[in-house]
Order: sequence, then structure tokens, then C-alpha cells
Amino acid sequence: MTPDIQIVVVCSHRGGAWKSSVSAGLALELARGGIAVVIVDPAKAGGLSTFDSPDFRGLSTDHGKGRSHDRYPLSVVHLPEVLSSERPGPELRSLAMELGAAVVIVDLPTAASAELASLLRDTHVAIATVPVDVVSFRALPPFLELLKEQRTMPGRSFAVRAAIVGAEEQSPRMKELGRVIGEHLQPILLRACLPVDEEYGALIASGSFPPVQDPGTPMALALEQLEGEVRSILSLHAPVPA
Amino acid sequence: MILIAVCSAKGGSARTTTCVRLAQALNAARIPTGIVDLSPYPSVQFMLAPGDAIPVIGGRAATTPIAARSIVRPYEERCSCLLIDTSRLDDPAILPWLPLMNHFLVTMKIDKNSVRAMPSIWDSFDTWKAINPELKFLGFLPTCVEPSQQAVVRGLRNRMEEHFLPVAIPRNDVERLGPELVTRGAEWDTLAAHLRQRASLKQILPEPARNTEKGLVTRMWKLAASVLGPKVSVVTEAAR
Repeated sequence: MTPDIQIVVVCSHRGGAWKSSVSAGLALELARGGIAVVIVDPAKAGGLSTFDSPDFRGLSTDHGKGRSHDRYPLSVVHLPEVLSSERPGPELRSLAMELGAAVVIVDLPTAASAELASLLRDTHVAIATVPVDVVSFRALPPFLELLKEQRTMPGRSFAVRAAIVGAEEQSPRMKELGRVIGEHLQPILLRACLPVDEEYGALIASGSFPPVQDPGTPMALALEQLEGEVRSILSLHAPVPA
Repeated sequence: MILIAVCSAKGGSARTTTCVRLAQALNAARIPTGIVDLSPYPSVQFMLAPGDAIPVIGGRAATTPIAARSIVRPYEERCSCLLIDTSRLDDPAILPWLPLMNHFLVTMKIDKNSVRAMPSIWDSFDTWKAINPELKFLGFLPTCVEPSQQAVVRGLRNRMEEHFLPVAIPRNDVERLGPELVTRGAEWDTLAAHLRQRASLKQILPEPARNTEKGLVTRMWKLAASVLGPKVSVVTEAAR
């Protein structure tokens, strides 16, 4: 029997929109819950492959294709060639089968708009990360149109969730952004708000990524919420311990 | 016309902000400058302030160097310089533009992950040099610099001075507040002056007119007309 491998794409219309942070955080949340995950990093620079995050320090075992975590069922694979593939879905599924993963998370570079369209043919969930700032807000409509157009194409049935990235004081603007996104593309629901507070900014500035594993932090709560959403859409169930 | 590519190894490194602010500074220095936007989701236009006379040229449609050249040809008379807002380094949309580029600079945030991504710039640069051996690297431009990071910037510059541009761009609020609410910092004018020398950019715009008494009176009437409406315009014409 072919295992039902599901594909999640994290994408954005802007650079620096926390695609890698969301990919990494979501993958860790799923893996901690017992779901085997592989994160595919197609960026040539391989930002995610060299991610210096406390959560990723367990990614030590090199298995030839990439690195795997020593505590959780999680692998990271740097795979730039997937962007030039005509049909990336089957390639990603065979990679996941090889690594024993049930979910593939693709941390898609911003510029890969043509590749996004191709990838969405085989995608189950697209997570659009949207920063709360004036310029991102003004540049958002063409990106929403692309998602909308892809969703209405025959044979595609992926769900879309928006992860709106903003600070606490930006709450009114986040609500406004949610309203506009809702007008453009009904299926997008706002479920995760990833706050950028001073402490987070200081961590980024020092080169460390936020300790998403610390329970109770706003970031951890937002990622838990996002993970719950994704798990429910994909109907994922953690394996029952023997 | 000189073409300068603005690139970065990671997203969110103020690449588009750099293109817009630098184009404004170059125009203020009488070097008419336009921007070629290679992003699949264009945002340059949203960063321009009202009144900016900066041509924004969509460059993603070009699939060959000939097509890229024909896109910029209409601007050869008008512009001394075009800044290319590139996308990711391995984006195929850059390839048609490579033979046309004269220089490139790299915006870089000061964090460990950006610094780790630096080698990928050199890998891409090797590929680019194979296509265009004349292409010159102007340097890294530290961007989004927090006050607490100035020491890190100094340290990097001390170790690799020849690879760094002489200014560091502090974190600014253009994206958060909108370009119309944020004044351009002096560092952009310093950078424009540096690039004018390094990239041999020509000043072809005329010097701004001096504030003669007659010119000042005319501007005051125009301002009054714009505020108070057509009746004053009639008075203005009569006064002339």
C-alpha cells in the first residue's frame, strides 16, 4: 500500500516574511507530536539547512540526503533541483517515502512564483506568511489572486491558511489585513499570529532564533494553533505507542 | 547607461528599500536613475514617495539578453543609471540581465544566518562572472542595522574592509509606516556619492534653479492657487 504522504507549502509574496521560521516551527510541532516530517529547503542559499536555532541543534545526523533530528522524526533536506522539476509532487513524495516521512513541508523561496503554481498541483495545504506592514499590504493582491486562481483550477483542492506576522501593537492593523484577505480570498482564515516583540527582535539580532519550544510564549502558542489547523486539515493522527 | 544589480542571499534584507532610497539619492545628486523590478510580486511602486519621478521598469518579461536590452533602450537617453531589484540569486529571471549588468552590490542583514549565507553569494558570483567577465562587485551593504549592532558592523568591516561599502543602513520604518511618512536618511546620499565615483555615474540633470525673487513669487501664487482654487488662478494670471 502506498503511504498517504501529504505536502505543505509555506510561501509568501515578500522576503523576510518568516517562511523559514514558520516551516521550522510547524515541522517541530508536528514531529514532537509523533508525525514524521521532512522539510525541503529549495533555496540555493540553503538558509534553512544552516538554520542556527536552538530547536534545530538536534539536527545532527547526516543521512546522505540531509540531516535528521536525534530526538524527533524530523529531517531537513536541501533540494534546489526540485524547483526546476516539471512535476515536483511525485519527487517530493518519493523523497518522503525514502525517509519514512508522512508530511513534506516545502519552504518555498519568494521568487518561485511559477514553481509555486506547479507545486500547488500536489499540495494539500498552502500557508501564506504575510507581514503586517504597509508595503506588504499594498503588494498583497496579486499574490492572493495567484492563490485564488490556482485553487479554482480543476483537480486542485488545497486549503490555504494565512500566518499573519506582526507585533502586539499592530493588532488593529492585523485585523484590517484579515478583513482585506477575507474579501479577496474567502478560504483564507487567520489562525496564527506570530508576534514580533522586542525580545524576539533581540534574539534575531543576536543571531539566535526564538525558543519556540518554550511553552506559553506567544510564538509557541501561535505555532501550536497553526499545527492544530494543519493536523486537522490533513487528518493526521500520531501513531499509538506500542 | 550603467546597470547596477542590488541582490542579497536572504529575503528581508532591504533590497527593494535600497533600490528606492538609492534611486532617490542619485536623482537628488543629478544622476537620473530608474529601477528595473525583477520580483514576481512587484513592490517598488509601493515604496516610492508621492512626487518621485523615478521610472519603474518591469524586467521579468525578458527571457533573453536581446529582450532585456530592448526593455531598457527607451531609458538610455533619460537615465544615467538603472538599479536592478533582483530576486533570489538562482532565479532564472536574472540570467537575461547578466550580460547587461556593470556592477552589483549585496545587501546584508547582520545576523548569523545571513552571514552564513554569504558563501552562496560567491558561488553565484562565479557563475555570473562566467557569463559576464566584466561584472564588478561593489561591496556588501549592511542593512537594517540596530544601534547595538554597530560594533558587529565595525568588526566585519575591519576584517573585510575591501568587501564592504562605506555606509551601514540603520533599520528604518519605510515598510511599517509607508514611504510618504519617512524621510530619507543622510546615509543614502553618502552612498550615492560613493557609487558616483566607483561606478562612474554621469550627472546629466541640470542644477536646480536658484530661488530668485521672481521665481519665489510665482511659486507662492501657484501654492495659493492650489490651496484656494480656480478664482486665485484667474487672479494669478491677471497679476502676470
